[in-house]
Amino acid sequence: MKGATETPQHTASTLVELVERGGAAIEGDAPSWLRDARAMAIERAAAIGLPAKTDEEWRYTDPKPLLEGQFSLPRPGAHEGDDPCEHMEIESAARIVFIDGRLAPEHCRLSGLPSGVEVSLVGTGEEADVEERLAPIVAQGIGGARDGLEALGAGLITGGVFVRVDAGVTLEKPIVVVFRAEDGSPVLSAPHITLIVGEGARASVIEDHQGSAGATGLTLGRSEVRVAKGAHAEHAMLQRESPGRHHVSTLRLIQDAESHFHSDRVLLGGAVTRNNIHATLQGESCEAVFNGLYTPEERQHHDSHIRVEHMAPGCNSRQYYRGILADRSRAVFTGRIYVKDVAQQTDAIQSNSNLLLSDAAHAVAKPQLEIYADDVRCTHGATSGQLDADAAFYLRARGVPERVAKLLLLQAFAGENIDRIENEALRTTVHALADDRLGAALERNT
Amino acid sequence: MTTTPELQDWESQSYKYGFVSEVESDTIPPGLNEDVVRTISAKKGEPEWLTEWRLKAYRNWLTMREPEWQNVHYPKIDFQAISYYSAPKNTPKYESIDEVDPELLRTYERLGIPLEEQKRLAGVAVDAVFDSVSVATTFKKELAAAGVIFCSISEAAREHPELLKKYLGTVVPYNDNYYAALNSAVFTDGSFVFVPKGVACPMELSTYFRINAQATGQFERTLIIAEEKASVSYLEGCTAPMRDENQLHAAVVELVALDDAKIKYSTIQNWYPGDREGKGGIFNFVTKRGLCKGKRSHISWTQVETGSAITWKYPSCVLQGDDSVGEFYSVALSKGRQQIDSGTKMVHIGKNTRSNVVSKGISAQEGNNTYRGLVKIMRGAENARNYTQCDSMLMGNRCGAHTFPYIENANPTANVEHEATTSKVGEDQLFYLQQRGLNEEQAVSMIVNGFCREVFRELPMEFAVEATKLLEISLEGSVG
Amino acid sequence: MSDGFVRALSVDEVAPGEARVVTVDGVEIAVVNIDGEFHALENRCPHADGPLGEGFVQGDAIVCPLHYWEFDIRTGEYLDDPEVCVRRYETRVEGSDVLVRVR
Repeated sequence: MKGATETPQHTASTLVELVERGGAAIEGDAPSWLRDARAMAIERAAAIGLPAKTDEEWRYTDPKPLLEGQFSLPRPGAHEGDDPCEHMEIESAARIVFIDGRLAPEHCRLSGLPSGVEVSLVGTGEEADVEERLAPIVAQGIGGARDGLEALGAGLITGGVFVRVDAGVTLEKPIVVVFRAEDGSPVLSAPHITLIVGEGARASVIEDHQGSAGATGLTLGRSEVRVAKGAHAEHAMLQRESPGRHHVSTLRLIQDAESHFHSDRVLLGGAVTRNNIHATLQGESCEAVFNGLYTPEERQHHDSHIRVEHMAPGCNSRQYYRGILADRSRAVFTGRIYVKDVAQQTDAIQSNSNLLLSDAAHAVAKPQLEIYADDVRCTHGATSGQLDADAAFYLRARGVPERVAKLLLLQAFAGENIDRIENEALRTTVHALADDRLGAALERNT
Repeated sequence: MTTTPELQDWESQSYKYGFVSEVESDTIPPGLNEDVVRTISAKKGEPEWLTEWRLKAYRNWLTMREPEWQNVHYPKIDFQAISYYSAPKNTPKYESIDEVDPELLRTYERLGIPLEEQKRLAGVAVDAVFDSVSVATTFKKELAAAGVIFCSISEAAREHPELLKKYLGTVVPYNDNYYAALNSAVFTDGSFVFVPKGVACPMELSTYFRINAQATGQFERTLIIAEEKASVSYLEGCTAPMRDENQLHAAVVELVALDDAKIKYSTIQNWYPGDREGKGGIFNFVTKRGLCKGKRSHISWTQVETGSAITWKYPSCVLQGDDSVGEFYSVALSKGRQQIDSGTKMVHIGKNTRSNVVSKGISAQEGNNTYRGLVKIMRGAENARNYTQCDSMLMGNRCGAHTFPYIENANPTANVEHEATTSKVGEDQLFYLQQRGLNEEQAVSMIVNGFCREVFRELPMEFAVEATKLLEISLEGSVG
Repeated sequence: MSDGFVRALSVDEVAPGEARVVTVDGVEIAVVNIDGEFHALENRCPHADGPLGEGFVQGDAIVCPLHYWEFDIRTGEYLDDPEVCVRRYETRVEGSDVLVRVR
């Protein structure tokens, strides 16, 4: 390990260089547990190696722009100044805002939480009491990472939120965390969200990743969700980053018996986006739904990678992902259902649908089943195609102009998954965003 | 290692007396190098361009790496320990049928194989009365009248070199994959079929009717060409359990269909799967590919696989001609220590192409069955249509069924649909059938046959009947 | 030939929409005929050395039989990423011969 007087942390470097330099590369005012976590993450990344295009899991998404792009870490201290964020119209239990990877305390609202609900900030140097509960989760994340990039995402932590809901407590409104990239220079932010829902409790978190049009850099995010017995958790992510900024995020979910979990992920922005979900259903009779929509355009690349592990009997899982690809964009969907030999009575469904608007767009689907138990129902389906010509004709025969007819069909296609979004305000926001995007995409692609 | 001058002497001798058929008296000692490749080519009396092609493949093979497959595990193969040419087994192993393993005979009985055929399969000396050669000769006359060429690939190299040169390696290039490269260098047997323009081959062709055919070819190379408006149905394999001292089978099959032509290729394979520990079973690594070169051409692959220790094969179709159709129907049973990693590749290049894939995998005991398929729609493939149905049936929870399809679509007017389901032989289904007087074995086989129905329907009739029986026997003792 | 052009094959050895592999001056070339125009590409796909000349000609593109990478015959560009190219060589038709310059 090199000495502590290394290059100042806000000088640009690449992830490859970061791993080569070792743990001391990120200095600053981080508490010692966080410094340890970062060192561990970098060490593990060096040990297992960063991903390459020759790896099966990255076969359709070249990780080079993520690993060799020059990024600088967020400057120390809190963000001060105006609020540039586009806030959804939503009633939230709490709202936390990060700008360019730095907490913006003036724009956060953390008061008025019901008892039994804890929302603590991470990476601000003040989380002594969170450390004990968070450190093992972070260590677990780093240890279980399947490639160096995931290890870095699990432990770099430039800032985050720790949410814990006591047993039996119901938190009606969602906790909203907004991450905005404003700076024109390429910033690497590694946001970390933890959501621990106690037995029989209920809570939800919404992440909103956004940015100014010219923002660049990389978001390397991690969300750790633990759902205890009989609990109910929802986690949504809206990715509307600028088209010049890369986005990698990993959702790690562990569910206990009889619990419910719902994930919504909407990918709109970003240059190269890698959306990872690793879910372990370790208790009997739990239920998990993974709902996703991606609409890449121009040269965007949206890669969703889901792995759902059924480790106990009687669980249900559902993966519903669909995409509309315009211009020269690319989308990849990998959805693996793994059923352990003891996981009898598993009921798992996965479906992926892609709609291509141009002949320069390219969709890849890899639905995968790895089944070791025999009393199970596992189905997966993947379709790739174009707008239903019959439906279009029907509308036009009723006087609907062609362009409008196509738009209606596109909206209906996207709408199937938008309508699955649990939070109503988020649903409304996504409907509006999607409508604009799809309308413009149709204009360009006809 | 035989020295070259000796070989040359020998060669010139055989030219003097006319071509000696494949019944040679020599066996090359184990090992593989350029000399071995040349020797094989010389023994076959091949033209120079073919020897060069083999050498090109061999040199390329040296630079390739054996593939590592996550889902299939086998002990490393020592390629220098294999003998790449040995005289065909026309010398009988046994004097009388009483010497043959009664268990084997019982299987033949149940499969409905006639006694004389049983003798032939088991390696018993055949009576002069039963002359398989004369049976084959009759068929040959009929084929010749229709203009169909059906002979061994070695004979094709001698008698029809222009045809062979035109099409060999055009569907599976010599450096396509590790085993195809090896096969291209050392293939020693296989079929050559050529159906000229407008001819519908008058009968189903089967390897059984090739004169001087080896019982099992280790490195078989088959090439089937159907010219414009021609059609042919080819059957490979048989349901009788096949043993072979040669563990490694790396075959290559190439099909070429020109405008409006149709080729149907059916396989039933019941290779020896090895003992209870999985030792001694056959490794079946096959590259099979069909090129729908012409417009409106049609290639269909149908296979029923129940044997081998390890099966690694992906019969594929390249749909180059506009309006061409590719089909793949498969039932793969993996039991005991068997491992199957199989699937299909459908590559859509031309316009209005269509492909249909129905894959049924059955896993029992500790068997592992993996479907790995690729559907690739190239950007120019307007209106491509693919439908894939991939179903797995599991018996018990010690086995595994896995599906890893890859769907790559670069054309917005294409429609690709993929569905996969996993199910088990249900206890209540069994109970219901047993209540109606069927014993467990019959009940299982009824359920399994229902599961495989769509595939069996595509098999030529004799094969369909055999396949059903084969599955029944193979599944014995798998339930519970 | 002092101007470097060497005879590759005769014009009727490659029909329109077809490709043929020949060795010219020690280099393996794929000669492709698009509507009577002859183009010469290196018979080696930049992806994994696949034999391009044994591939499939589709309009102005040739598809490598190994992994189905598509190249524009006139520019040599890989259609999915124009930065990747296969080498092209100049051709000339003299009488009934197709000549290629590899050096």
